[in-house]
Parts: sequence; C-alpha cells; structure tokens
Amino acid sequence: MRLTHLVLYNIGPFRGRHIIDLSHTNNSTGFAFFAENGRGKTTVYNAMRWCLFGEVRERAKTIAGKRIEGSLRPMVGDEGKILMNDQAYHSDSPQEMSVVLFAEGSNGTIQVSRTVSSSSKFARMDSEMNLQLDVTIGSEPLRTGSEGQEAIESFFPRELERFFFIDGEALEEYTEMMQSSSIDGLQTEVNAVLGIPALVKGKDDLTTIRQTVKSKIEKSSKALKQSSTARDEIFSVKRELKSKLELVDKKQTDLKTVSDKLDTTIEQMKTHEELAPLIEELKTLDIQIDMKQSNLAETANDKVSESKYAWQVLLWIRGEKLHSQYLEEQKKMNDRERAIQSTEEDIERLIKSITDVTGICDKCHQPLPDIELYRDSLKKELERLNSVLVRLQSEDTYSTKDLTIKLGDLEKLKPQKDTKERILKSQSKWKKVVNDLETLEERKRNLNSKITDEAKANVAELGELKGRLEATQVKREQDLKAARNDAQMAEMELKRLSRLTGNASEDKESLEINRIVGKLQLAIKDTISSYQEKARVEVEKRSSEVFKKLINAPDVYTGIKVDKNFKTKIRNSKGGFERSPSSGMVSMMTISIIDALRQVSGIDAPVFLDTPGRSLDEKHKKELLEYFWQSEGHQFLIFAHSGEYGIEETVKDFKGKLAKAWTLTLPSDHKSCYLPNCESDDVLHDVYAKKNTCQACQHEWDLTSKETMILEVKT
Amino acid sequence: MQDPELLLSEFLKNGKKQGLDESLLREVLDHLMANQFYPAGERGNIRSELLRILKTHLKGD
Repeated sequence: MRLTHLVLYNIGPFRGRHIIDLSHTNNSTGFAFFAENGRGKTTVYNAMRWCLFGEVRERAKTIAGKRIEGSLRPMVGDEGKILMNDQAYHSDSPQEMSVVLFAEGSNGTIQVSRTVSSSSKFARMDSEMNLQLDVTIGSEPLRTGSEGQEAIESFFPRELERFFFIDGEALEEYTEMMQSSSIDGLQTEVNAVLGIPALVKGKDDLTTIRQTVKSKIEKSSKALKQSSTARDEIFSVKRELKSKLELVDKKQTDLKTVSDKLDTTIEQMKTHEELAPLIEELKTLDIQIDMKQSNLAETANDKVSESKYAWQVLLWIRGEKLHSQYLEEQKKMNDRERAIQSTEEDIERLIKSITDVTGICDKCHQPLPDIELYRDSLKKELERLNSVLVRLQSEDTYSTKDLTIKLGDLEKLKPQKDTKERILKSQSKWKKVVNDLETLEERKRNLNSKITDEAKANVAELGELKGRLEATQVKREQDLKAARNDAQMAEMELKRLSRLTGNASEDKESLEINRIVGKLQLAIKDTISSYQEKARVEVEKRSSEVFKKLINAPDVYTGIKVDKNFKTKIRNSKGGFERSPSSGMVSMMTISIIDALRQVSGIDAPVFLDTPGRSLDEKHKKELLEYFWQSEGHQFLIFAHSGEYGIEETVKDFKGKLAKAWTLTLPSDHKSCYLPNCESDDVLHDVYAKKNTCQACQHEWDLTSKETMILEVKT
Repeated sequence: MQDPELLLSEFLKNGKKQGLDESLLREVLDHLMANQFYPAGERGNIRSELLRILKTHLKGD
C-alpha cells in the first residue's frame, strides 16, 4: 500500500487546509519531512496516527522494564497540548479539524477521512465535539463509525502500530526493553508480530466452542438416558394402566348392579302405592306424637315446679284476713299513741297557763276583771283532758313488739303476687297437651286399623332398602370416577414416556466436533511451544541480516543474538558479544530487530520514522537511509530535524531513492522568497511592519505568523 | 509466521500429528490469522464462523 495524498486541516501549527501530494512516477520508497523544532514534523506524524486510530497518545514510558502507557492528547481544551490548531480553537465557529488520507492498495484506492467539529458554540472539551469517520475502499460502499475503524485496522492493525509508526523515543524504549532483565512489552509485541495472538485467541475460541458443544452433548446424553429409563418404565406403566382399566370395568359393573337393584326396589315400592299416603300419615302422626310426648313432659315438669308454692296460696286464703286485722290494729295503736302525746302536751300547756295567770295586765298593769272565772274554766278543761288521758292509757290493746312479730310471721307465708295465676296457667297448659296427645293417639289407632302389620313392615323394609341402595350408588359412582381418573393419569404418563423414547438420539455431530476441537487445541498448544522457538531463530537470523546491512562492517560485527527471553546482544567477529556497544550501535540493533519483526509481520503499510537519526552518528544515519530507501518496496517516510539530516546533502546523496521531500517552516524562517517559481534573494525587510517583501515577485510574508508552511523540496 | 509460512508449517505438522486433515488446518489458521487482533469480547462471530468451518469439514468427510 502506498500513500498518495495527505490533507491536513487546522491541526497543530497547520492553519487552514494543507495538501501533501505523495504521488510520484517512480517506485522510490524514500520520503522526507525536514524541519527545525516547533515547525510541526511530529504533528504530521501524529496527524496520520490520529486519522487512522482516532487518538494520539503521549509517548509511553518504560520504568524498570514495565511499559507505562502515555496519556491521551486532547483534541481541544484550555489545558495540555491540544491537537487542534490554536487559532482555529479560539477563533473559529464552528471549530473544526480534519485529516484525510488517500492511499492505493491491492483493492484500489483507499480514502480515510476523520473530522471533528464542535457541537456547541464554543467547545472547551472533547465531549463537546462531534467525530465523523468515513472510509472508502475501492468501489465498496462507504463505511462509517466502528465499521470504518474495523476497515482501517484490517490494513493498519492497531496492535502492530509500533512497527510502522516508529519514533526516536520508541527506539529508546525498545532498546531499554531489549536490554533490561524484564521481558514485558517486547515479548508481547514479538508475539503479536509472529501471529501468536491468532493461536492464543484461537485456543480460547476453541475452548468456548468446546464448552458449548459439551453442553449440547450433555443435553443429548441426558435425553438418551431419560429415553432409556422411559423405555424401562413404559412396561410397568402399561401393566398399571391395564389393571386400572380393569378396575374401571369392575366399578362400572358394580354400579350397574346397584342401579338395577334400585330400579327393582322402586318398582316393588310402586305396588304399595295406595298404602303410601296412609303410611306417610302414620309416620307423620308418629312424629307428632313423639313431639307431643316430649311437650307433655315439659308441661308436667312446669306444672310440678309451679305447684311447689300451692300451699302458700292455700294458707294465705286464711292468713290474709289476720294480716289485715293486725295491720288495722297497728294503725289504731299508732293513732292512740299520737292522741296520748297530744293530750299530754295540751295538759302541760294548760297547767303552765293556770300557773302563769297573775290577774294583772302586762301592758297597763291593772287588775283583770273575772280572773277567777277564767281560772275555773282552765281547771275544768284540765280535768277533762286528764280524764281523756286516763281513758286512752287504760284501753286494752297489743304491745307494739308482739304486733310486729305477728306481722313478720304472717309476711313469711305470703306468696308472690302472681303465684296462683302461674299455677293455674301451667295446669291448663298441661291439660291441653294431654288432650292433644289423646287426640293424636286416637287418630293413630284409627289409621293402624286400616293398614296390616305385614304391609307396613314390607313398605318399611323397601324404603330402607331403597335408601341403602341410593347411598351405595353414590359411593360407587365416586369410586368409578376415581378409577377413571387413575386410568387417565396412567394414560398420560404412558404418552409422556412414549414421547421421551421417541425423541432422543445421540448428537453425533457434537461428539465429532468435540473430538476435532480437542485435537485442534492440542495442535495449537504444540504449535505455540515449537513455533516460538523457531520464530526466535528466524527473528535472530533476519535482524542479523538487517544489522549487517545497516552497519556495513562485516569484519567487525557478525550479527545479533536473540535469546529465548528476547534479550539481545551484538555478536562480534571473534565469536563473542560486544560488551559496551556505542549508543549508535545499540540504536542500529534496535532498528534491525524492529525491521526484522516488521518484515515477518507481513504488514503492507508505509513506515513512518520520526527523528530517525536522534542518536546516530553521521555514518550510521546515512546507512539507515541507504538501507530503508530503496528503488522499490514499502514507502519509508522520515520526519527529520534539520540537525539530523542536511536537506541539500540528503537530496543529493539519495537521488533516485528519495521520491519526494518537504520542508516545514514558519514565514520568519525565510530571508529569501520561498515561492517555488521565484526564490529571489532580493527581499525588502520591514522592521516596523515585521514583514518581508520580495522585490522580484512582490510576494509579502508576515514575520510574526506562527502558521507552518509545507514547501516541497526539489529532488 | 506469515513469511515464509513457518507458523503454517508448524501448525500443519502438529495438526497432522493429531490426525487432522490439512485442508481443515489451513482453513482454521487462515480464519484465526485474519481475525487475530479482535479482542475477546468481540469474537462471537469469529467463533460462529470457526464452528461453521468445523461443521462443513465434517459434512465433507
């Protein structure tokens, strides 16, 4: 695959749209970007990574052999080094950045376009940006989003990114990994390149498949077992069903027998139909008589109970007169006592009056006339009252105490108010019941005289038989229903078992897949084990070849030793190892290993090498390009600092191998006119306006501008 | 190894040792190599395809 165009828009120091045309007529593999620091060569390198993978990370660090992933570079924001051009971020609305990459591959042209634009008026963080990825491969339909990403990674596997995006820092990282005692990181990458993930992940895939298949096998085996058990059970259930059906037949016969007997009994009962009302009446009478008899017992009890107080009633007929008499006497006694008391009080008052009469008026103090006459009248009245008192006191009567005792005794004999009525009522009730009972018994006697004892016994016997038969019929109906239910259950069980025996079969396919998967797992396990060693040997061989070409000193160094932990050493021509190789030599060794791995990875992608000559001397820097820049093969793009490679010298030395080269510059870097068709040195420098003006073509350029220009170098 | 098919030759050798057919081994490895960089969580379809390959091979036998 070869890149043909790269379009940068508002990324890093590149303001606006910049088109880099990588297409060329020959098959030379060399491409170069030359720039001083801060002109954006790493931005071009990162722009391609962002376009392909949607992210750019800070360089990973290796601490004590452990690789620490670098943090993600933000696209926009006020903190950190953002990917978007500063001016576009601060001034544009909407803010937008994009990279478009065009390539040609075996499937035709490939176009990858990744754009990010602000969703809010002024986005200040990545979450406020809209991302759009469009991928077109040949004539296939446009793919976007995750489908597009999947398509990209089929050409540029993210796991192998480091074998085509290589920078100076990465080389140092690799070197440290290869020389440290830890093998973390490098072995993972070596495994990735050697296709070990295919086997490891494939083994896991097969394990998952095997689990599913085993579960199916277990299910079918369980079904088979159930089927076998069902076949054993089916015979006993059939026998059981047969006996249950026989029982149903028997119960049906039993029921029929009882029903027939009941019909016969009912027929027989019909012959006594004329007696039936009489017998019914007799039955009714018996019931009524029973009720009356119990009623009679109750009324008799009431009668006896109420008669317990009859003596009181009889005694009171005489005692009541005496009681009235004593009450009268008591009243008289009370009247006499009140009369005596009153008379005594009158006598006392009269005596006092007689004594108090002086014959002198209290008011005028004159003697009263006829005072003696008045005194005589008072004395006569006193005599009368004394005689009344004597008469009252001499009257013959009971003592108060005696009278109270007598009245008390009589009170004890006094019956309750309605005792007599209750006694009479209970008697009357009892008598009525006796009469009713006699009437009923008379009627029964009359009826009995009309029905013979034999007929009566016959009808009673038939009635009793009918009742018994009806009860039996109900019970046998229930028995028949239960027997039928049992038979039905047995039939259902038989059907269930029949289904189980019919459906099960051995899952031969799953068994066979399980067998093959097991063998594949063993094959993968053995392959991982044997292949790793062979791959190590292969990497050692290839990296040695690359190394020998790079250093071009076969008399001194014979290759690279890669041990089983992928630690590396430089072999010397004496059969030993270089104990303290120079940093440049170590860098060459690292590049050799990486290229050996890249070769075996089979990735059909250009190689991007940022600051390639970072720790190399002039000789090795040149040899590096000699090796990678060929007349055909994968594109090899370097992003070189002007101190690493001189532009004119490189162009001259690699004519024919260098397809295209560019410089990345700021306007202020140019003292002569930089327009390709002018290049005049006649430039007027305006110190105050801070601008240069070409006197030949009148082109002006702002010396304060921070916008990087991409200018193609004539090769 | 994609070049010069060292991985394939190793896999074929170990697979044949298990009595597996070469065409099946080639098809399985091709499928695994083509999908080697898909993470474990996204391999449902890859497994389905692998199972299909195994079933097709069984029917072919």
